[in-house]
Amino acid sequence: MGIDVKDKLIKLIETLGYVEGDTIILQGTLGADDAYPASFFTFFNPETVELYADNVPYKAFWYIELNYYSNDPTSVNTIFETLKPLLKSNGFKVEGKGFDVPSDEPEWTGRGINIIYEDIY
Amino acid sequence: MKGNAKKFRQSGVLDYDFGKLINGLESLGEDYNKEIKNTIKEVAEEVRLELKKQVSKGQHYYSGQVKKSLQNKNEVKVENPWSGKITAEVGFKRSEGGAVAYWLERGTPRMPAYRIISKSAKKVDAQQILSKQVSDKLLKQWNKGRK
Repeated sequence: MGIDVKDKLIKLIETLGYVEGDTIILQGTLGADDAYPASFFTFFNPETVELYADNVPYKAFWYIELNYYSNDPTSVNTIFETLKPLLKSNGFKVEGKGFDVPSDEPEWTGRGINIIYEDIY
Repeated sequence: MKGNAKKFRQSGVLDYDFGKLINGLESLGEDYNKEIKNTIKEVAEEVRLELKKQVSKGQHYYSGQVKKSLQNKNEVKVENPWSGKITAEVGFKRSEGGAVAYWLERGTPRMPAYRIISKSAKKVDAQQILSKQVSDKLLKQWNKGRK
């Protein structure tokens, strides 16, 4: 029921030239010995809340954490300015202006945003 | 929607607005701030104990530094007497190694998120407990006033 919102998000980011499984990955899935790509996105869906009417689900709120890591600090600070209008025009709600996220590599910095998608069945 | 959106707060500080309930109590002619502050303190302690439990177990436990940075005092303060907003701060002190708690909450590309803060908040559900306790007090006083 409903759509796969993670898939929708990945396809949107792919329009910016990033590749699923390579520069768009699930948070925490990069191997200990894998090198960081120069710039990449990670995502995580901590929760999806379904709402019911007469015991029938009629919509879901998808909460997704989207992070961007890069060894180019300028792009870290500007990437979401490019991405936010694209997300908004495709039905995603973006909360705030984002925040710094921790990186395993000292030369990479990261920035994250929380997004919500209201999936009406 | 509004309630769920709160889960995304990044501050590590749980704060809830009980202005309406407090105003309701005050409209009955008595100042309940002290009693409510004590109730909030009790619930904040429950959250603190749950955080302590969550941070002490699992693969992420290494040196115990994050656990040590957990604050023992849950300071309760009246933020804005006009709106009746009272908050309790519960969590890890950044300057004492607590910043790592944020890493555990959020994860990194190589490390999955352990979500100790959101797990604790969900388990205790401070908002629900507080609403119930404060509502019970309001109801008790209301019934007393009607006799």
